[in-house]
Amino acid sequence: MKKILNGLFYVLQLLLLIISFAGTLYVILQMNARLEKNFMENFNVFIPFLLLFVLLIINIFANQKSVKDNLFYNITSTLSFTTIIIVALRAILDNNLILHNVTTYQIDFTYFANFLPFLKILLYGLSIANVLLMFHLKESTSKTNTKDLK
Amino acid sequence: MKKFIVDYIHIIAMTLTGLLFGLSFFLLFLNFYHVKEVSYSYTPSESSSITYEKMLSRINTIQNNASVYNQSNYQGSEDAYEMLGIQSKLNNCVKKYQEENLKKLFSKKSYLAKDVFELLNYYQNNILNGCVVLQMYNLVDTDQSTYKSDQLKKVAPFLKLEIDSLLNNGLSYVRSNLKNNDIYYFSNDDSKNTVFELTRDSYQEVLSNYTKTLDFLETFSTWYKDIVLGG
Repeated sequence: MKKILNGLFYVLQLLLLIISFAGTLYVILQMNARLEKNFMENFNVFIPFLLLFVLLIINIFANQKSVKDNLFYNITSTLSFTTIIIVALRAILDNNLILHNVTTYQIDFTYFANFLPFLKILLYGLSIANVLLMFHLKESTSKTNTKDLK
Repeated sequence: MKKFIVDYIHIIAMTLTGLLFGLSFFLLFLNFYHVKEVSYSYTPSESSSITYEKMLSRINTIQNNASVYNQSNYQGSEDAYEMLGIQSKLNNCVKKYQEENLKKLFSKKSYLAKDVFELLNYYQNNILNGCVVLQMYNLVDTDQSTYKSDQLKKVAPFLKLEIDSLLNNGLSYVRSNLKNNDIYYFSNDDSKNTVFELTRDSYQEVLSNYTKTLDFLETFSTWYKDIVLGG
């Protein structure tokens, strides 16, 4: 059961990471178009996305089970990306936000901009947790230790 | 020692993950709560003291007061063109209250925050700027006014006070609050009742400004009627 859940959340987090990145990119590009700003000025928003993406790629290729099989980490990642997606969707679709109707872009940029610090905290936090979870003792070592103890 | 350090790092990683779980859980549910908050609609009571129907009956009174002046048979001492000018200003103001857009806005059974914002925009653009500033202010501005009527000059200071109070309304506060409805927070019924319930209180504030302007126009039209009939 735990294995199925783990696999489910692991795949889900990868999918949601891509969707949340796309949502954020869309809002930021519209925001830049409105303010006539260069994309590079907001590039720092995407650094944590790229960092986390690289770490997840490393997890896959290095087959790091300590991260991949950590159900709690996978659930937290899924929840964090879901939050980012919901905020991006609300900025784009929620008509009840007054500023959504005021600008001709039909996006509430202020609402999304207010969320950016939380977005960074969540993504950098997940990256740090991912790196910390990479440290683990090899199974053979721990088994030997257990045998020794017995 | 190595195992101890690795275990310690693992504890830090799980603690950090736990904190992130809490934060994202909090933000997610705060957003759900906020969706519910901003989609709140206020339904005005039908027995309310201020309704558009009641406003319309007062608008008719203003229209009737303005219509007493007839240039072809006016025998009074006031300048006929000035009287015509005032009549035209009053009629222009009345038209602002009778426009289809405003009727549509007031025909709603319940109001979302964005509807109140539209009502507010209409009031500031059409009633306050289009009527009070563009039409009425010129009458009472003693330095700039082209109106020489002695009767008007006598009441001008009082009318100016009224206009100033209409211009110094609290709507900028209401406007900024409505525009900031994308800032999310947890509120409760107590704070809504005692402090400021965004949709309901903004609606009441905007509506009271509509009627204040109508009070002013009604008083002014009554003065106009008295001058035309008495002069």
